[in-house]
Amino acid sequence: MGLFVIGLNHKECPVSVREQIHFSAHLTEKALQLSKEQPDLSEFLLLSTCNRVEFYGSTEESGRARGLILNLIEQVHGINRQEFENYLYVHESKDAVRHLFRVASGLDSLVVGENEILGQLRDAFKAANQAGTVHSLLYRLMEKALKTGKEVHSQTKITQGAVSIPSVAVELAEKIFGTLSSEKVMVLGTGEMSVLTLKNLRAAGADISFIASRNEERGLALAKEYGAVRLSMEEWQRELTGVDILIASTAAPHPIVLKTHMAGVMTARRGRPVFLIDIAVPRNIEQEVNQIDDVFLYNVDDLKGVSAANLKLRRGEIRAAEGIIDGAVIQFQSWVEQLAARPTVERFEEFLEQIMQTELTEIARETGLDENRKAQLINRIKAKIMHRPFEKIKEASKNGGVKKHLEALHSLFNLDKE
Amino acid sequence: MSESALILNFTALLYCLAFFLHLISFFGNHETMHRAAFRLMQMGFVAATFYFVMEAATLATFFPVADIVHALAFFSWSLAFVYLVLLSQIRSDSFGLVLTPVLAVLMVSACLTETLPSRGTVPQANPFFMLHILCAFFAYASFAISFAAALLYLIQRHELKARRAGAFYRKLPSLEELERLIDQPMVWGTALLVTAILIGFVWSKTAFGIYALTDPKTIATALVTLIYGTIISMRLVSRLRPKHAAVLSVIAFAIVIISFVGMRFIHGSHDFLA
Repeated sequence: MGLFVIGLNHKECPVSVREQIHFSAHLTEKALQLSKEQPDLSEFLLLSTCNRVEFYGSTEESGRARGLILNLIEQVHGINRQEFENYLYVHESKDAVRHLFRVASGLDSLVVGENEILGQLRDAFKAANQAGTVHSLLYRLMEKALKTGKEVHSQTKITQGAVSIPSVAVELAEKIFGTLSSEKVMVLGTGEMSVLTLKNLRAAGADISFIASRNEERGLALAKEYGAVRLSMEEWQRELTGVDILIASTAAPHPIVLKTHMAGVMTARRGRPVFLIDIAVPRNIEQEVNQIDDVFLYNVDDLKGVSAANLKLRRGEIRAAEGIIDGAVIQFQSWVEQLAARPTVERFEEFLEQIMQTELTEIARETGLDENRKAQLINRIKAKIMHRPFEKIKEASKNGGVKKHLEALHSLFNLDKE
Repeated sequence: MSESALILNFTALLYCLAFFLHLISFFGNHETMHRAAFRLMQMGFVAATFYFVMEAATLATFFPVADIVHALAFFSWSLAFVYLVLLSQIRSDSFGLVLTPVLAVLMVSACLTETLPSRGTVPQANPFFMLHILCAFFAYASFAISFAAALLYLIQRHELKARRAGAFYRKLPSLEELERLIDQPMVWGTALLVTAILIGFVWSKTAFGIYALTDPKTIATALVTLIYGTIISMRLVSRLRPKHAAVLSVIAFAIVIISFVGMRFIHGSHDFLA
């Protein structure tokens, strides 16, 4: 029984290749059904996200998995294996378990510590479970992976601190205003990044109040979407006093928000702070504006600086996360080894039972020992004999040493021949 | 060593440990350490409460604040009470980091201060006097909280202005929350101090037949009340920016400390803690 993971991810494989073998929900279903037709593939699960495509499973013979998966990809996508084969990685047994736990914890993600992967993994597990391609081994593995991912997220700070520009903007806004509830937001320019920032601010609870744009059609569409007022580029200044968060991302070649504007605005605001987010290049907000009390100005580089600091903090937590993963891998491997030991242990138990039945039946006949007493005696002796080997096997399962004990049992008691 | 002295030492030890764990948690990023530090602080508060219950039983009084040891310990207790009970919604690493050393210093000072070897029962305090002292202690504890919040506000504001995402930026609460923590305890403290002064007048009239208007401590306390009252009224009419309120809260608390320490040298008739 060989557990494996075969896949490719954002680290080595370019997006042009990843998109070719991406599995949509429909294709995932198709692949899961096809996997059932492979007699060598005893269990199977497929995880496909924008950053990775991974196949988890188990085969009776190790080394067979790669060929099976390559065939499956070719069959589903109709592409030649030469196009992606070189990017594939294969991990088996303990390495496969560790890989999955690292993926579930967000350690293998493009943005370290992102927790979206945990949901994606849960969906992949659900799909495979529904398709009936997951049995005891993968079921237990996935449960353990999801639990480990959650543990890493809750016991370390790997998910803390925003790392994308829009989420950094929200984090900073919350550091200034506390929980966002009714803070009024104005956006100057409707570029992709400013729209993403708007989306994040609204999700955090801010009130998107004004959309100022040169492109009237786009401005109106956005204003409608957010329930905001659309302003022309000549009108926005008059509304500035009531605005708590301003996002500037116009294509203007020079600053359009000047210190003189803001000084007047801040006098009227009587000390209420303002958060200015300048995500335009060239910058839209005069740098000197930050000198005014209660104005907090961040440009793209400043936001990237916060993001980098947060990412550094997350990376600092990797060691702690790896510690949790190490523990989880040992626990899972121990379970797998104990599972593998079960047939031998059962055979040994039968062997003991057989001997005792023969010998005690003879004694029972001579001494008049009744059947109940005889059965009790057999069970007690068996339990006492089995106790120490059981403990030894359990102990050895934590460091992969079960095999030698099983071999010893087989060879000493000739269990294979029984 | 008596049992109550043992509890006092134990409380001091708990606060010292809590401070130590807060330090590790703050700079080492350990969430479990922070939780442990908070628990130790809570345990310290419970131990201090137990100490006062025991002292009340020993001294056969409802209000066992009879000497400088009690005063230091009670100030520490009221500070912990305001933080842990009245402001229970805030539990940031940074606040614990600022408050636990204060609690530890107060408790260690109480442990190291020598008192008379034998303290029998003390006369039952006048209810007005008890209320006067209670109000004063809680007022100063509230000002201390406001002071701590003001310090943290200025640090966080500096971090945000400087566009640095350092340890303080991450660990400190938002400016808005800190602003509330400056204002709210300041209002409570001022109201309590005004109450303490008024009750003090009634008590001095009852006990000594005079209103102790010219007593140096009364004058210093009135001055402190006036300063805090001015800050609050300026905040209410939005004339005072949060940054300036924070700076003034720090200055006002420095004046509180100066007046407190100064009164140890100028006793006047008001020599409760001398």
